[in-house]
Amino acid sequence: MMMQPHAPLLTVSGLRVRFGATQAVRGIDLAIAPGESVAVLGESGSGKSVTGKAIMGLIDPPGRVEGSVTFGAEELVGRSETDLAAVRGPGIAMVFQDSLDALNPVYSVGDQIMEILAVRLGWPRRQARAEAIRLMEQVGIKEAGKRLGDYPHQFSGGMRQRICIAMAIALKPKLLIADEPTTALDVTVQAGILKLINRLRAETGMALLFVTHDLAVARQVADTLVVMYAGRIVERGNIDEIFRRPAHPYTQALLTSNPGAVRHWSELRPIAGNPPDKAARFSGCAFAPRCPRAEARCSAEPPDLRRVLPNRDSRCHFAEEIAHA
Amino acid sequence: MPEAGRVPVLSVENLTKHFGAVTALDNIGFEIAEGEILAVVGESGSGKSTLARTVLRLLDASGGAVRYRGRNLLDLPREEMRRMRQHLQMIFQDPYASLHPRRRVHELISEPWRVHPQVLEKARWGERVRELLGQVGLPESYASYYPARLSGGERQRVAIARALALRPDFLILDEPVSALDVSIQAQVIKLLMGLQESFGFTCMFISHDLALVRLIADRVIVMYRGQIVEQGETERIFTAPAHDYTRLLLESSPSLEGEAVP
Repeated sequence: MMMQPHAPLLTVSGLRVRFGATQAVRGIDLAIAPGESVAVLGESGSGKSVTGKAIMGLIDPPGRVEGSVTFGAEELVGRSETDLAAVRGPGIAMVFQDSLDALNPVYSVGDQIMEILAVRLGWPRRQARAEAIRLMEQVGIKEAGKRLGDYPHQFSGGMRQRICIAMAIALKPKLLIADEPTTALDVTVQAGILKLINRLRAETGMALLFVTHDLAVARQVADTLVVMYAGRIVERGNIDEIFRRPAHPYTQALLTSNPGAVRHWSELRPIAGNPPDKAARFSGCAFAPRCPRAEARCSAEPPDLRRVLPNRDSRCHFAEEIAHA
Repeated sequence: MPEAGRVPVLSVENLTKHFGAVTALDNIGFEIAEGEILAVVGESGSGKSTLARTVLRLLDASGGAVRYRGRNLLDLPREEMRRMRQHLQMIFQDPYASLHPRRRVHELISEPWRVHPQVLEKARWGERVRELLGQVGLPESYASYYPARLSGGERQRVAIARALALRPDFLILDEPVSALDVSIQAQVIKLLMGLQESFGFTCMFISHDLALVRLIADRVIVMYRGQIVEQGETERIFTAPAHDYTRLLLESSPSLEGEAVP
C-alpha cells in the first residue's frame, strides 16, 4: 500500500467484484488521501468503472462484492442502503458518463438540486432555492436564476453534466467519484468540464477519483495514476513520473501506442492481441499473452503488486528493468 | 495537393444538404487529389458524417455537385451509381452495427461480389477471402466464424477486408477507430495506413481525434455547423491555425504533455 502523507480518506482492501463466473474486479488495494486526485485508467473490461461503483455501494445482486471499503472510520461493504445513503452526498458523491440518465426528465433542474438540500439538510424552500442558484453559478451556468425552472432536455450535454456536478457537490462531499464524465462530450465541452472539476477541487479541497480510458484526460486532472488491467492494478504512482518512466510493460505500451506520443503513424507501437475476457482465468500475469517482455515465468507465476521505485508500485517481474530501460 | 492540370479524384462543389429547416451542409467545396488522405474534423453537429453520407449518395443532397474523376455522382442514374459504388467504399465507426450477425466472415467479405459479380468469378471467392484476411492480419480460420466470436478490433478488420474486396480507389473512413479500445486503436490505424501505402487508395478520414489526424492526414478540413471554417495542409493547420474555431479545437484537445487544462 502506498504511503500517504495524511490518514487516508478512503481505503479499499482486497476488493473483489463478481458477476457469476465473470470476475470484474480481482483484488484491488487503494488509498486516497484528503484532497488527493487519483485517475483510474483502464480499457473496457479492466474493472475500472466497477471499482468506482463498488466503492459507492452501487453493485446490485447478483453481483457480489468482497473485501473492504472504509471511508474515514466506516466500513461500507455489506452495509444497508440506509447506512450508505448517509455516506453518499456529504461523504462520497458520484458523477456518471451519461448525464441524461442521471437526471429526472420530468422535474426542473432547480427542483432536483433543491430536493437534495430539502431532504438531506431540511432546508426551507427559500434557502434551498438561493443555494441551488449559487451551485448552478459555481458550475458555470449563466443566468442561473432564470434557468432554475428549465428541464434537463432544455440544456446541452455539457450543461447537463455541469448540473450533475452541481448536484454531486451540493452536500460538500469529501470525495467525488467521476466515471468517464466527459467521454460522451465534444472536446471543447470536455475541456470546460475538466477545467471546472480542477477549479472545484481547488475551491473545496475535495478528493477526486476519476475513472477514464483516456491517458491525456487523466493527465489533465490527476496527481496519482492507477492503471488497471484485467481487474487488477498493474501500476500506481505519481502521474508525471509514470509518464516519464513507466514501470509496467502495459503502461509503457499505452504510452507508445498513443497518437499524442509520436509524430507519424509509422512510429506507433501498437499492443498486440486483445484485452482478455472477463471470465478468463490466469495462471500467471494477465498481460503476459500480449507483453513484448514476457518470458516463460510470466505465464506460470503471477507477479505481485510491489514497490519498485520510490512512490511507485508495479505488478511485473521485470518492473525495475522496464523503468530503467 | 492537387496538381495543376490533373483531375482530382474527388471534387465537391457547393454541396448543400437541408434536413427540414436545418442546414446540415452549407455550400461545401473541396478537392481530394490522387492518393491523398484528407481529414475532416469537427464536433457533433458539425456535419462531418452527413458530408460523408451525402458524398456517397447514402443521403440525397439538396444541391451542388460531387465529381468523382470528373463525373457528377449526383446526376448519375441509379443503375450507373450502383456500378460506380465498386470504386467508392466506406468504413463505419461501429463494427458491431456494420456486420450482419447471422453471416459468417467469408460471407460478409464476399458480399460485395454478389452485388458486383463482374469483379470476380465465384470460383475464386474462397481464395480471395483468404488473401484479404491475410492482408488485414486475421487467420484464415476466421472465415467460418460469426461476428459474435470476434473482438471489436477483429470486426473492424473484417469490415476493412470487405471494403477492400472490390479494390476501391476512394475510401471514406468515418471514425474507424473511435469505438475501439485504446490498446486496439493503434493496431487498426497502422493496418489502414499500411494498406493505403500498398494500394494507394485516396482517402477521406472523418475524425474528432486531432492527435490522430495529425499523424495521418495530408490535408485537413475543419467543419463547424455545416460549414468549412478552414482547410489547409495538416502541419499548417496545427501550427498556424487561421480560424478562431480551429484554435479553440486545438486548445481543447487534451495533450499528454504536463500542462493541465488552463
